[in-house]
Amino acid sequence: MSFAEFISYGFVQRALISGVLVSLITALLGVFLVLKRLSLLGDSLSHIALSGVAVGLLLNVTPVFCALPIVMLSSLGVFKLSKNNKIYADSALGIVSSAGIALGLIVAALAGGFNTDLMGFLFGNILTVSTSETILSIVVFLIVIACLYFFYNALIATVFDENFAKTAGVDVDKINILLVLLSAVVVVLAVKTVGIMLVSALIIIPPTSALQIAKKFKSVLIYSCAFSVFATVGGLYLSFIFNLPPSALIIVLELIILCVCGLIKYGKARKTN
Amino acid sequence: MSILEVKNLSFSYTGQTVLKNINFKITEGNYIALLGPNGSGKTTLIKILLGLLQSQKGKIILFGSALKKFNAWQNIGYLEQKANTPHNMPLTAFGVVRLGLLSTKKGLKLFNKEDNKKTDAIMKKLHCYSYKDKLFSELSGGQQQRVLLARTLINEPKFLILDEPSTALDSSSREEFFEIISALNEENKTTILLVTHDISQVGKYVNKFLILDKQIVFYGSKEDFCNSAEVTEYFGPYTQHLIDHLHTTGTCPLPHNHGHNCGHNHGGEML
Repeated sequence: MSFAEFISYGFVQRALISGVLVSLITALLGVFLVLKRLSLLGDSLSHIALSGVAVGLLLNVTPVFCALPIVMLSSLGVFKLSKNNKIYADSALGIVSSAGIALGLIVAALAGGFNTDLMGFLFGNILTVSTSETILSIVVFLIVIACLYFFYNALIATVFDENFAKTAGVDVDKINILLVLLSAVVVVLAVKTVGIMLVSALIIIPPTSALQIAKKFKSVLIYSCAFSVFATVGGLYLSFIFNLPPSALIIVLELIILCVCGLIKYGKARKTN
Repeated sequence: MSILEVKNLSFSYTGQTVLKNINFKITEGNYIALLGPNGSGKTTLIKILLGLLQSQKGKIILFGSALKKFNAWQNIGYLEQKANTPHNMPLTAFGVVRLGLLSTKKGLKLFNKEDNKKTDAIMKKLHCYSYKDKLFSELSGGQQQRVLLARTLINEPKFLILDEPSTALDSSSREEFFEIISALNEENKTTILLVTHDISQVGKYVNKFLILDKQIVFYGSKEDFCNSAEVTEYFGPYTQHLIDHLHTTGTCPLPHNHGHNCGHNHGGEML
């Protein structure tokens, strides 16, 4: 199948628009989360999304819209737990993660077990993205871009050194809340693209690859976006050719890019030495 | 002009008293060495003064405003002993220094060409311009500290709070560092609160000592410090060595009638 034929289908167009937007958002936010050592926030929130999706299926409400408020509230819970220094951030993430899976399993059982819909959310089904979900992707993309533009330097200062950021007049709490809330929204959107099991890869791998080769912050953001979009479009196309799950192929392509970037970094280091 | 007032400040952590009933006032142009043994609460005090920690009791007034309402952060420069930053942060030295201008930005914190010029100027002044395009994480400890000092000074703050800032520097850089800071105090009347262990390095520059050991042991001028009963009582048998050392390094400007001068250098780290 040629690429032109591939993109002529309506459902592929919706999948491409939604997939590219989600991959751009995860790539951008992922850079800040990886540098703040909050990479696993996406993983924990995706497990909470399982509960939200299961509740949606139980109540017969669009799962993504049901998962959204639940994941957003949980992200605030993680922030509150780790902020008070009563629990380490990674422990807070672990607790939220387990709670999400446990509640998800209970609600899924009440909703009639692991049916096709729930499996679709577990492992992603980008080809079934609806028009309303595509519109939601566009809206979230615009919100994320606006937030990153307006709070770019405040975000960098917060990631670089929170104590300094506070004494530079940055409202660090607000910036952190913004970051976790945006992450929550993005995780819910990304669940449809690659599934609950793989959503954290979308947040972690492209920024990590970019950090191997880029020297400046803006370059890291650009590389991260480029790798993420390439993997999403490539994974989707290859899934048609080889008849394999797109979510898995997207992640495999991202892993290949990570290996290549690692090799480039290694080569540069050897050349320097 | 009052820069900082601390009233009845107390702080405890997990039931342990870290600071008890702290009261002091800093006025414009003061250059104060904050001294105390490890665990005496120096860094905790600094963090409370900057709002990084919340005290259970007491009041802090910065530039006439209660700390909770204080928002003129461009008047304050804060430098820690070591940058606590992500090791793979893709930020150049220039980018780090320019972040110092964030406190001057109201609303949207975006930079312009004027900010870039200011950044270049301060980096040239502090001799870190030559590595402005290098990644901050790839610089040596001394270079990083110089970059952070440039970030701290870029706004020409009226009040500098420095928490053991020279730890990562070699001896010649350390000397230069204190020369720069002292020039700011002398020429611009910049008020400085400097946390240090090294009394010999800063003794000749500062005009006041604040000795902290969970509570204030001594707060006053250098002249009073060298003749203080509180200092004698606190340091006990070590007082004589301390005073001798301060004379040797030129810290005590007045001859002290202590009846003993062993002439030995007892080392810089007195506290």
